[in-house]
Amino acid sequence: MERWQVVTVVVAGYLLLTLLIGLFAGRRVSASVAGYVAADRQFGLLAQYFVTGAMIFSAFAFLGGPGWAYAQGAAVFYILSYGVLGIAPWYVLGPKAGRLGRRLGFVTQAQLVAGRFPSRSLSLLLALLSVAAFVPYIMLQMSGAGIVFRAVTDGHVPFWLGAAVSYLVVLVYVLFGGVAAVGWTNVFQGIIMMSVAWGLGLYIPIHLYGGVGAMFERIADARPELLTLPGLNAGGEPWSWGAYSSAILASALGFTLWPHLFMKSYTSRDDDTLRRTVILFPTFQLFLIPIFLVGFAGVLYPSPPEAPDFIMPHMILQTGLPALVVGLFCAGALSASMSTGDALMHAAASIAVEDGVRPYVRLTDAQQRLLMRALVVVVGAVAYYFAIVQKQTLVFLLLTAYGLVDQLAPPVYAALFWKRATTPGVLAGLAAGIGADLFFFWQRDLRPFDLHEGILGALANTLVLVVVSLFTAPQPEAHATVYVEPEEEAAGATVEAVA
Amino acid sequence: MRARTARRLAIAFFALYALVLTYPGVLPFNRIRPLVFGLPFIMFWVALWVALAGVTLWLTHLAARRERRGR
Repeated sequence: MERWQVVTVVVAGYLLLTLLIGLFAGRRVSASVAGYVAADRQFGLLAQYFVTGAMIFSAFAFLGGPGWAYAQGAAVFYILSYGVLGIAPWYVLGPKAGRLGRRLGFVTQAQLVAGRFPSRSLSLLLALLSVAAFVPYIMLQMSGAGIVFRAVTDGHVPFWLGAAVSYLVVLVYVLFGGVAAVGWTNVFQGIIMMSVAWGLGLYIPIHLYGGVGAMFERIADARPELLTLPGLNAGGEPWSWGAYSSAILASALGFTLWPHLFMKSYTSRDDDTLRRTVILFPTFQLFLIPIFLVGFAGVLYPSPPEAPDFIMPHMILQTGLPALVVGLFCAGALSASMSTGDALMHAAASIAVEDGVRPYVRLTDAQQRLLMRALVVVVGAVAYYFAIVQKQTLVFLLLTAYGLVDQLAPPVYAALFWKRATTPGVLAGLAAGIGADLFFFWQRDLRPFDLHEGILGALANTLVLVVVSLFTAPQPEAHATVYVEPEEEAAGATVEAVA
Repeated sequence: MRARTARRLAIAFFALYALVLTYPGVLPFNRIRPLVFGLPFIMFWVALWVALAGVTLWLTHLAARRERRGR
């Protein structure tokens, strides 16, 4: 058997196993909206850790990360920097949102925000914003799957087919298993991707250069500009400090506000599970180091890949590893892509129904689940179409989506921490934030200090939110307290009951 | 340590984290040599802060849990 055939067999085995895990997990939760979207709020530490970690580490980290290290050098350290900074607020935010969800029955982020700021247009606006940010992110995952298949089978499985096959598997288990399938497949996928990353990341530099230190010594002599910040931009010119620093801040700000991650506060069994997930998260983050090493190993390698995003499979094929290992790498990369893609497709459909449709149309529980499943297919198809025609690098796609997600920060923080915020303030702030984000996205030359458009949008968003809130009538004290001080309010209720 | 103090220290830590990993606070550490564990110094520097962040979060959690148990 030729190598690409062995690889294909290994990958087929992996896909089959993933499918079975997903289908089996899905059978164990109740047939209800809370079951489909929040797994009956029953995830323990193991599931929650991998749901969070594997969902965040996507094809973006697995292929885009090495691609940036290879072509843009130290610029890639922004990815290593922002993760823990981004997740730290989740230690407070996650349990608070989870508690409110359990008490008031929320399963999405927009329900929380629109619960505090009652407005159907706000709910619809948040749903549209979330889905708009998801599409480039799902495209990125599908491209990742297509890239891997094409590279390791020497083109025998073309880009469109590789992306289609892996996402059909995702589609099936998300349709039938909901978030429980997403969770338990992520445990499996997370373990595979971490083992593959550490194994290959250390093996390749040792195999090619005799060690990690020896590799960097040689890069330092030949291409020192790649090893100091802020690295290079996509055009090979030095990147700007403003862009590097604000890429970290924009990504950290939006990190926990990704609606699909935020929703996972509702899947967790209790507060402590969420907190421990945050504490363990840096262990997941450090797995970027071996991933970057593979990209750096390509810098002085004589034959270049066809595009920077192909560097990871390129290096693996060039070092003459056995077909079985190549197949496992392929499974790892697909895991990275699929474990994020599944959560995104599931969340996009859940959000569209819960926040976009349900405030306007009365639906039974069964109708809602049917509509969610239909929308999983629609979102998948749309993203697949764009993934086939787009030409941007993976990291660029994600940075663009982050600009939109950053605009969720002011409404969510206001809902949970600022009693004086009002509905008109939040609506006006969102409009200003989205407007500024899109304006600076299209007019890149007008951005002050080359700052990321998401940060500029979030500044406008916050400013307008505060000013308009202060000029409009405050909310009733009791209503705001439920959201801002859930502990005190609950404690007060107990005291009254006792008295 | 009381949970409130621990939380404040954690917030201060993350402010420092943002400061020493972005412009201009990162400038003094933006160098290739000495290599540490084979990594360029700046890469080690970023990884070090990620690891420290994990320790900080863990200590904060311990303090909060002890206080909850104590009550």
